[in-house]
Amino acid sequence: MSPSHALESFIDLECFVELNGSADLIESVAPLFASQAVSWLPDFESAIAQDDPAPVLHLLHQMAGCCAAICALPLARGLRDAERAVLSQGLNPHRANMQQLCKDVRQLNDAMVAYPAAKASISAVP
Amino acid sequence: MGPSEAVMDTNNPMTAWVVDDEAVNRALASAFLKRLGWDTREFASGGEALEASSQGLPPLMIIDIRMPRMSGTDLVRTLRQHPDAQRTCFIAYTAHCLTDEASALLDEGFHRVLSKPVSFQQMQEAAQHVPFSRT
Repeated sequence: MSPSHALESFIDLECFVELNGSADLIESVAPLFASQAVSWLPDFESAIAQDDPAPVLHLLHQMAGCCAAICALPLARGLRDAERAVLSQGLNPHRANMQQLCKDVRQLNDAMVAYPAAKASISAVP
Repeated sequence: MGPSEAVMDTNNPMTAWVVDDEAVNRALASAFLKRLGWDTREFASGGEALEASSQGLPPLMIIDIRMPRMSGTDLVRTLRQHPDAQRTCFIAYTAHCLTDEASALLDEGFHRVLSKPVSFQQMQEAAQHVPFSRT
């Protein structure tokens, strides 16, 4: 899968353009997203390993808000649903889902990081 | 340069502060405001904004609600005591806001509520209605 297609599998680009006026802002926010994901993911995994729901809930909320802002809507919904589920039922019944969400956020981050280069290479084709 | 290190004149009638612990959300809100002609200053926490308020408040503040340590609501509760507060428009910038929550935020002193994700048009409409001027 090409990096631009990888990004489109997470981000609703039509929604992003509608909200932001163009897709150009993705390139500005990609490094910011990556800089946050660098701390989110290990903190999230560590909080799950330590069975500590408070930081898990905080990080789910942060990641959900951020994913919503960039129109990664299905992932944002998944994170929000997980936040509600952990809040009402605790962490244990949702461990497998947490691991999957972590994997999805990592893949989105990889796609975000790769997107500017992918876009540049597409633009460079005569 | 860190989010709050830029030097900004708070007496500038077109200065807006964006307070959000999420860098992506700050960047998007700032990009919209800059496109609308505002100078922006970003803060990663309520504490940073509170510290900067000793130099005065801008006419417009976009404030995330759910932040660690000091929430956006706590920040506005504190800033309402500031001598400039009557001339500052506080806009809540929040995820997942239900009608009841929006009413509560308005009761706390916010002038408007924007729910994330915010479109350029929504930000434009909110910023257009800033009724305060330092000029």
